[in-house]
Amino acid sequence: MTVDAERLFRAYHETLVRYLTRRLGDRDWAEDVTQETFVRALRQETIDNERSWLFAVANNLVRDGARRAERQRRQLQVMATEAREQEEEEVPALTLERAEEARDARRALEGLVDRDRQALLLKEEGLDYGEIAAILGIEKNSVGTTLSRARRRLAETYEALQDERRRREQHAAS
Amino acid sequence: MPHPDEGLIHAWLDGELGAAEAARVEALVANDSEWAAAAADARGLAAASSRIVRALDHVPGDVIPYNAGQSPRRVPRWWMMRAAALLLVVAGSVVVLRQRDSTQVLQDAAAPTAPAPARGPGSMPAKGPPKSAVNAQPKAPLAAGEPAAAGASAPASPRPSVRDAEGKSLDAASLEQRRVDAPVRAALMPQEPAALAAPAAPAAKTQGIAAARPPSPASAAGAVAAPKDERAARLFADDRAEKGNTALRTPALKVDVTCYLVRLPLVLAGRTVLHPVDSASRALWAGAGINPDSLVARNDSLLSATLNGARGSAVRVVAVRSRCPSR
Repeated sequence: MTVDAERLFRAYHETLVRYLTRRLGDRDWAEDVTQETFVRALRQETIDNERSWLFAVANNLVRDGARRAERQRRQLQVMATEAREQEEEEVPALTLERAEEARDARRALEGLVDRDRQALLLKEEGLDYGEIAAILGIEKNSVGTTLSRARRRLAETYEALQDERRRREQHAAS
Repeated sequence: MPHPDEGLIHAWLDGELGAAEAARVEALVANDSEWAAAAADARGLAAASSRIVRALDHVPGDVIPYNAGQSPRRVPRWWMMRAAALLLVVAGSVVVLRQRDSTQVLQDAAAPTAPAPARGPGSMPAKGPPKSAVNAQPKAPLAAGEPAAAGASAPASPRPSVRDAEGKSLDAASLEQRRVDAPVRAALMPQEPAALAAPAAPAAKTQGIAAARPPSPASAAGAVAAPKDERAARLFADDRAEKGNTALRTPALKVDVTCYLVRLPLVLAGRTVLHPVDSASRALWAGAGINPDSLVARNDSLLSATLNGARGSAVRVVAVRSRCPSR
């Protein structure tokens, strides 16, 4: 089918940015990769399975990491600015709690091997086993095993991090 | 009975099995306790994983958690809270005593003809400094033996000005002491020449030091909040505004740039695609040759501007109000 830029953007931009942000931990980086993905999509005459194609290209772009150093440099600048501003502001308890949960989730996710992590995040974006297998280059029959391993490790690691944090807080309070 | 296959169970729960395979797994789960337990475990893991992944989205500023890799912020300890409370009480007491002391000194100065109250042993003699000296030199709290209501013996109003009292009522020793102290006071408070030159309004005297003292530029509340306001003003002030005038024209235009999602139009294959850009990433804008300072606030929910891109082409920028990521 012919690539319709606007429809493609409306249909997949949000989910692609979310997937990449979860995977990379950097919204700006995710935006850049998403943009490049759409640029490449628009150069295609036809795309059979748009969702699979977009996620596969995005994964390849992340793997290439050609712009990673530049992105990290920019990210550090932004983070430094934000850190200075945040030091001047009170952090609401809810925000702090959520930030800690997010940090634990990030650490747990980064504890997975790359293939498991990608499979998990792709599944959370609604991709089916066939699409995940195509993107990751694995057998469809092994996606279930990959996901079961990823989910178990993620949950166990996250739980361990939460327990550790609770112990630290109790120790600090006592 | 086969041993439970976790991968198969996850595939079954995800609806990825064919009808025949799904029916087989369903029967196993229904008839075998091991399979049933494994299925329950898999359901829990799938739900937990989804929740954990969604937690990644709860990131202020949509970036990596700012304290990633560091120890979490600790809950304030009880002794820290107690120390803070104690500090607050002490600071409050000092302020109250200083106000009370300054009021009393002013009243002393304003009532030179009143008979000096009898002082207890160990009390300090009243110097009766002028208003400027009150501002410049915080006094120690009143001694225990000093009458608490010394001002009660002085007329409450109208009070003569400090300058009047200075010339008429202070004794020679007090005047000499004040003359000696004057350079020191001036050195300590160079930002308050007006306070040294002229007394404050009588109404301000009774409100203590803080009220009588004119606000210094460095400590004014507006100056404390200035950096952010100035930044917002720089970003959104009309470019026709005078140079150097960073004040916002109306309160309605007082917006926070971090609350906006700025979209740079990206023309791809003849079509315009709106590409969200984190408005905090001004470094990116600068790299693209775009000056965000020329953004114009049209109203509280929309910013727009036509900027010159890096290649000299006009770039239309639209910013739509979004959530404030760092709040």
